[in-house]
Amino acid sequence: MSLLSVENLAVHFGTHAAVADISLSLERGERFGIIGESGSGKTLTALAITGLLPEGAIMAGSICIDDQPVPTNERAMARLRGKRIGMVFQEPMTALNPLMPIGDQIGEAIRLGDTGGVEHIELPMLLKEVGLENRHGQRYAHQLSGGQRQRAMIAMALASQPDILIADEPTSALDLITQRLVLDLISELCTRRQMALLFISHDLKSVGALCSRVAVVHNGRFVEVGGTGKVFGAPQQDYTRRLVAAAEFKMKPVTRPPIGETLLEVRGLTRDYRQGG
Amino acid sequence: MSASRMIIFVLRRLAGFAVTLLVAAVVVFFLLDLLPGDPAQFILGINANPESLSQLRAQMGLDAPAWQRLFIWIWDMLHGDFGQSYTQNAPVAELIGERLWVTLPLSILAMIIATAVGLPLGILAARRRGKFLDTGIMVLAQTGIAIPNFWFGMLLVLLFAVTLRWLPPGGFISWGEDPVAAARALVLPSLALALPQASILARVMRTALVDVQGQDFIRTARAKGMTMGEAVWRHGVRNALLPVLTLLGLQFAFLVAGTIIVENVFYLPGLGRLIFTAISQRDLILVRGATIVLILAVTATMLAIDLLYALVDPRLLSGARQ
Amino acid sequence: MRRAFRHPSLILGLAASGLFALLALVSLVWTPYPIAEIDIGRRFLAPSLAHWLGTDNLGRDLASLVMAGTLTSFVVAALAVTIGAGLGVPLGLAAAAWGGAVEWAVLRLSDFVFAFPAVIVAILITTLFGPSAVNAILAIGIFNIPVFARVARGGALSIKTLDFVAAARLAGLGNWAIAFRHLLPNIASLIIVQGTIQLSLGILAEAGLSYIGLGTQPPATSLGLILRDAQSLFLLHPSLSLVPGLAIVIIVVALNLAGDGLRDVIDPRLKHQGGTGVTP
Repeated sequence: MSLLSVENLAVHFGTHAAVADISLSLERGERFGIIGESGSGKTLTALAITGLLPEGAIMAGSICIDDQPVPTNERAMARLRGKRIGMVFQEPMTALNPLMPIGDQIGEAIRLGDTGGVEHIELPMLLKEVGLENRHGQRYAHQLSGGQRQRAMIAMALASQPDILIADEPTSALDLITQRLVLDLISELCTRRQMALLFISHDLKSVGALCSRVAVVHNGRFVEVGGTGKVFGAPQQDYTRRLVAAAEFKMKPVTRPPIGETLLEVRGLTRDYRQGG
Repeated sequence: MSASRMIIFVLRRLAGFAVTLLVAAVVVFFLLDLLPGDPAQFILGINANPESLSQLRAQMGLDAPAWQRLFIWIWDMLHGDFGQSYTQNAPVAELIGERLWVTLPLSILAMIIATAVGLPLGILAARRRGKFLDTGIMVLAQTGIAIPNFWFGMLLVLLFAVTLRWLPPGGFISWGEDPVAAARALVLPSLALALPQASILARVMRTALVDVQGQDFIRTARAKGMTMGEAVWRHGVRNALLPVLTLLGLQFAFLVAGTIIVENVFYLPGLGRLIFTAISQRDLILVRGATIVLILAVTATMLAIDLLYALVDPRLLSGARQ
Repeated sequence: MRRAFRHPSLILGLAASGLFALLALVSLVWTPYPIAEIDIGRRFLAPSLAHWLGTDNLGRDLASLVMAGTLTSFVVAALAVTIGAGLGVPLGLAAAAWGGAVEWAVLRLSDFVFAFPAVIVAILITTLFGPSAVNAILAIGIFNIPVFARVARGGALSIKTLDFVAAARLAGLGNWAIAFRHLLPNIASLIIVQGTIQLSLGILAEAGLSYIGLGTQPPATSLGLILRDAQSLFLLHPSLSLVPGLAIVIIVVALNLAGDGLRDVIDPRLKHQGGTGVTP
């Protein structure tokens, strides 16, 4: 019995097919990566699974959690999402409500995800688990750094103690060092909580570091699926090969020595931004 | 967000408010005291006899230089003394004070009705976007914006006072004499004032909420386990209120001034009637005082909405959003 | 242009406002009856072939009055828009092009003018010079200045960050040249849309001012003034106030539809943003 199984998923906008014929299955604790360039349909796949597709999108195919088809009723689907699936999005600044302290936003997720079991989760515990302090809970999104915001998002996703964590480009909006920290945090949390991970990214390195299995998506279809080492080490498809080659970043050395005198010199340049009215 | 930031913000807004009033007072003084040349002559007309002229000059303190008169005028106003009306032979502050008992409740009632009707309709239209209800509300709003409030007042009188006889067609009995009758007299005028405002609010609220529905944090709220409706209610409405508040500040400020037009339809003894009488009798002192009170009401409304905005949006105080 | 013809409400709005503007212009050379012709013998006539909309308490032909009144309303509102755009747009452009102290001054000035709604300005002017249509033009025009200044500044600021403006600056163009050669043409459509909206608001404001006696004076007439004359009679003869009132509503709806439609056609990104006009 798989935790999540998707069969022949397709998403259309009018006559345009954005996602076609996608099937995948996810076992408990498994880490599955979906990799592809922007606009390839990887985000739409995640949104389709969680029932969050934008207006005007038409979906076909079947999605089952624990071999049960997901409900079509909006409220039932919302509650299922709240209790079973945690989601982390790309841009934490816009994904957080600017007018509500993040502690309250996490608290909301705790209440919505409460399954009525004995285990009761609390805000301070959650904050600590993602590496935030209690005082951060009283702050608003604009008062946190990019990394802290994404940690808050992760805390929100964990609040319901979900079985599946879906992370959609969770590090693209962050700087390199913060990216590393956030990826480590996700990896550590998945191990500790035995969560399955659906990791969506365009970055081969992070997929390679996190996931055991990977699917390469191109023009809305899976072109190659398999173990991460196998797919990246010995790509079978032409597209995958090009993707792997492009990821190997080689710098051409500058061969020409500088000629003559300095053309432009900058010294002690400052630029202040006045706060406009 | 710290308390000191809040205090600085409030102080800055209060200072801006005070400066606006001060400059407005200078402008009004220039227009009504300096432009006519000799205000006493202006008030009494060309054929005035020299005795009453010099008497009025003395009463108005016209012998002092202009800047001194300006200073005294402002200083007195700060102490609640708006001068003596020449034509009504009564203190201006008292005359205005009586009238405010009609004008202020009327404008506040209209604001409450406009908000209570406009915002829910806007929210409803946004939630049913593209559906019949949405189209219906927007057609109503488009029409409501185009209806002159005083003309709508006439229609209300025809329907509710003449045909149905539910409410009085006009006039006013003072609050002290019969508070119920006084309140009933203000129902139709405040509905007339509220209609265009409610229409504007409904349209702006709808636009703002439609905008907000596409925002990422609504998707986050849904990902947490909310339906679209719950997400919009918990997270959308407050965010959508920000652009609405900006407009509300201006709209409600002008509503205060618009009150004096609608008072005319219902023969209400408000500030408007006082001003029209003062204009026709060339009572500069009364016009001056009444104008300042109107400007005070307009700017105070704007200030109140500004402060409200800071309460709703925490980013304003931290300077993250200027 | 082709997009314009696929926009039914724009066509409806333009056609209806055009029709009323045409009727107003025709009143310059011809009205069914002279508007000043008083004939007590034929007062309060119901609509008929001779008098399409009936006659008023002085026996004047209501259709003729509405035609002439529409002209006044349009002229007052149009001149007020001219004042507002003529002063407001350069102020807004200057604020955007210079920034700094200039911008600060323009913003504070526009905040300040907002403390003077048209009614208050009209009260002040009427006290000094007596009531006239010019009061209404000035009062509404002054109010329009900050509206246009804000729209011009907002539009210009978003254009100013684009690379072609930086290129022009590198090429050595000064602030004035940039404001008028690069910023103004790019915000012209915004100004036209705002102008349409302010025109409709101006017609409403003129009606209000004339109705309380601070605007147009007899023997001239305007839609607001006809309503003022009808005020004391409207309980007995409601049609006298219904006709001019409906004329105002139709003209303002038509102008708003045209304004919203123009906005959609000129800038499809702003579709469904809804008019957010501010009443003077």
